[in-house]
Amino acid sequence: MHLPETTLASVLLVGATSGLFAATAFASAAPSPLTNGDLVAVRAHKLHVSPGNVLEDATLLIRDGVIMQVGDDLKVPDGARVIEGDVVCAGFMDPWGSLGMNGPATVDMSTNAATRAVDGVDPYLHPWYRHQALAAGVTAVRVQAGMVSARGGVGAVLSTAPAEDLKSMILLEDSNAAAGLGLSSRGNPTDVFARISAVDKLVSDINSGRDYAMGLAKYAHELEAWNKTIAEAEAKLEKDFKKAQKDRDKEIAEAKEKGKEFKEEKYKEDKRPKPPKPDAEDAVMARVASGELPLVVTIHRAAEMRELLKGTARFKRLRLVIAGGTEAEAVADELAARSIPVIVRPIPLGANRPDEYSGHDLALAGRLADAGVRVLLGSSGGGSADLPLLASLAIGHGLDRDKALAALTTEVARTFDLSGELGSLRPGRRADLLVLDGEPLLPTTTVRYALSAGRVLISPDSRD
Amino acid sequence: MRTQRRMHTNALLLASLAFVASAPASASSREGDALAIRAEKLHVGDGTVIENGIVVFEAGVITEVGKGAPVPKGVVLIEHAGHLSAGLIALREHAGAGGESNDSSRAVMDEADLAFAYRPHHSEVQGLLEEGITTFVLAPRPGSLVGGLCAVAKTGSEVISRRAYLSICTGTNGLTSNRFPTSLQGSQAELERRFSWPRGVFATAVKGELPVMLDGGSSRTEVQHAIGFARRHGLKGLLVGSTRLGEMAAKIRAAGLGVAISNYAPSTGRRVVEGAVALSEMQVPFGFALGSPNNHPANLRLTAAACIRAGLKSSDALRALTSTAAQLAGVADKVGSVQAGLAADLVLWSGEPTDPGSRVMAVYVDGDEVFQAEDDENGDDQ
Repeated sequence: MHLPETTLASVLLVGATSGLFAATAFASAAPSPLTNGDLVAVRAHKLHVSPGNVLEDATLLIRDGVIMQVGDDLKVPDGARVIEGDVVCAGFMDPWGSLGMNGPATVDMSTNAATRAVDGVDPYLHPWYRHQALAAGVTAVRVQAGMVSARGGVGAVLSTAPAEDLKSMILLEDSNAAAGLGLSSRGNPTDVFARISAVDKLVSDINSGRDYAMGLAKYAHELEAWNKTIAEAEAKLEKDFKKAQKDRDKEIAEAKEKGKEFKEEKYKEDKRPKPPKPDAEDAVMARVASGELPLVVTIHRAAEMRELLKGTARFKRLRLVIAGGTEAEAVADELAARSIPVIVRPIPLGANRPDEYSGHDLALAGRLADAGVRVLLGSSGGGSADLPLLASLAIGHGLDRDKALAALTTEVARTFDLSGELGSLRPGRRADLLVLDGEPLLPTTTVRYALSAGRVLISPDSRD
Repeated sequence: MRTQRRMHTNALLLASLAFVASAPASASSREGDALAIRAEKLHVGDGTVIENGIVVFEAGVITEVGKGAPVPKGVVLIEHAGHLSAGLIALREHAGAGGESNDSSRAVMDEADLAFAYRPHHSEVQGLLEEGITTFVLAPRPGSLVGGLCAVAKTGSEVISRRAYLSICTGTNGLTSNRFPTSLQGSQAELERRFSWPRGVFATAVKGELPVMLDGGSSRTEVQHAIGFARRHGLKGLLVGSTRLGEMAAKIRAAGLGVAISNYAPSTGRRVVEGAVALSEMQVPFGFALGSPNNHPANLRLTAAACIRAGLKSSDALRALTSTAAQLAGVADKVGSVQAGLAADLVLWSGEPTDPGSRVMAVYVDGDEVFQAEDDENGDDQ
């Protein structure tokens, strides 16, 4: 397994603490079936290491589900399974999907900042959905509980590969925090006056998160100082104990002599500092404010985006990600300057569209990319299996082909801190890759093989 | 692309100069818009592709097509580094018609003429051009048993056929709760009566002189009923409105009907696209419905691409978008192929027309350039 041990441990912890389904179903599961020691060699005429970085007639070696070597002069070791194809590229990632989640969890409106997507993972999802996604080349999906809720909570990145245990489904248990602003509810647009205050509320939540983090830091500092003071006092008492005992005996004798009552000198200890009141939501927003977790904000209208950008400018460590961004062209310069990625949904929408999508344009992805904005492409939960087809639509409306490929691979990995594990075909990365019979993102190209952590999950015989 | 565009503009300028020079000679020329375009790949429309093919057109009509087609003196040749095809055709479309395309308070509107609902300059119609759609069948929205006569319109231009189809709903789509008939049985009885003792347009349809656009409804039973209805009354035409038509390809073929494939919506399953493959294997003629403004014009090509992904041949998909659609709409003598004598309705693509990743670079309707892509920032600037 490629993930660091700490992540694995915490994933296991998530499994063990997330309520009813986890402990019984998965705690006793066998170690990951992905680490099987198999050696796989993938040979291709064209190997997209990353978008724009292409090797001709190259070989890629996989051991234990991890890419070991990539090059055009590699020898295929004896005993390796050899897979050959025209074009090889990294598996696609849907940065705004729902595959693998329990349906009601994704549309839950009562989620808060501390709700965890991993608690809504559906291990019993029909395998057909996974097969569809893999056959289309989608190997990972970032998911969220409460996708249209004001606070979606902590998102996760899931593998689309079928797995027997929860922990091998979860690639990252805490990829981001999430919020939704100005989204229609059951087809009704939100109140126009409430929208801006909703933005301000989010900014104030980030601020509370920062205060909470500062409160925790202050507490840690005070506790340290207190411990030190106590230790010093203790040492002093210890050292002066015999003298103090003599003095006391003397004082008692003196008091008796004078017929007075002996008054015991009371020891006064500094009050132990109090920790801030624990708050799960503030704790998540603290991680957001400190830049540890990116904050994905589903937001569409220019006025709200301006307010959000203005309000968050003072949080220098905050890592904003915009999802939707229908009118983002209006703030493209600032998005580019602050390196805020936008997850665009390149779906053709008809006249009956939600109010926030009224300015929807298939050319958005291309225009934002031209303005220097980092662009990701996402399905918004509709269907990850269709994302590659929709990505080609974005290309047909102005997005550069390499940028479209990056929008489904490297940019997603970078945005959610997975560059070391996913998104490109460099040594050390998890072997989530596709063997294609043509260039990626063409309707005529089929996925001949799809590998997830080195396991062949789609092959010419497995296609329906 | 920027280079090509510049060339384009120059070419047009030259073309108009050429016109000025040759104006007295070509008095019959409507606007003196003689032009020639050479494309890396020219898709004729019948499945053949001409490498470096040239199309010459004048007064809105194609005069020559071929690899070595002679370019008349004084006519400017535009070089297009990409593909060229005939303009796409959407079967069953509602763009620009607004509320004029249906009246659910009346069950039978046999003489309603959709041509009157056509507004060529409506923004929804202009939106079709951006996606390379140059011809469409303006049909009534479902809601009546008999919705009227469908028109075939050139996008942003004129109506070229006023009686393409008689629109009929045999299924639940034709019902409403507040006027007769309110039940499927009632609707079937009413339609049987109209077609068993036919008068007016019904008589013309029964004679096979006026095709029908049959919306059978979505379920299998409803579609089977629609096919049976067409066979019983000897009707010719098009089945529309169901995602399950492909499952009944053999029956549709036996009935001699064509199909307008419904829109593929991402995440709604694969019936539509697998159906297209089945229809193609059974050699049932089919085109694609669009249904804008409720569907985005880009859906036409996206649906075709989804069918290709499911196994439909790319050339068959393009045929369904152009020449077959023209045949089904009864206008193959005017549009749908890049052939001498047909209208110069052309689309210049950056790549394969059926790849959604190809951009529409320019669109010509009747020889006039009616759309040109915005400048491509990423284009090479050689």
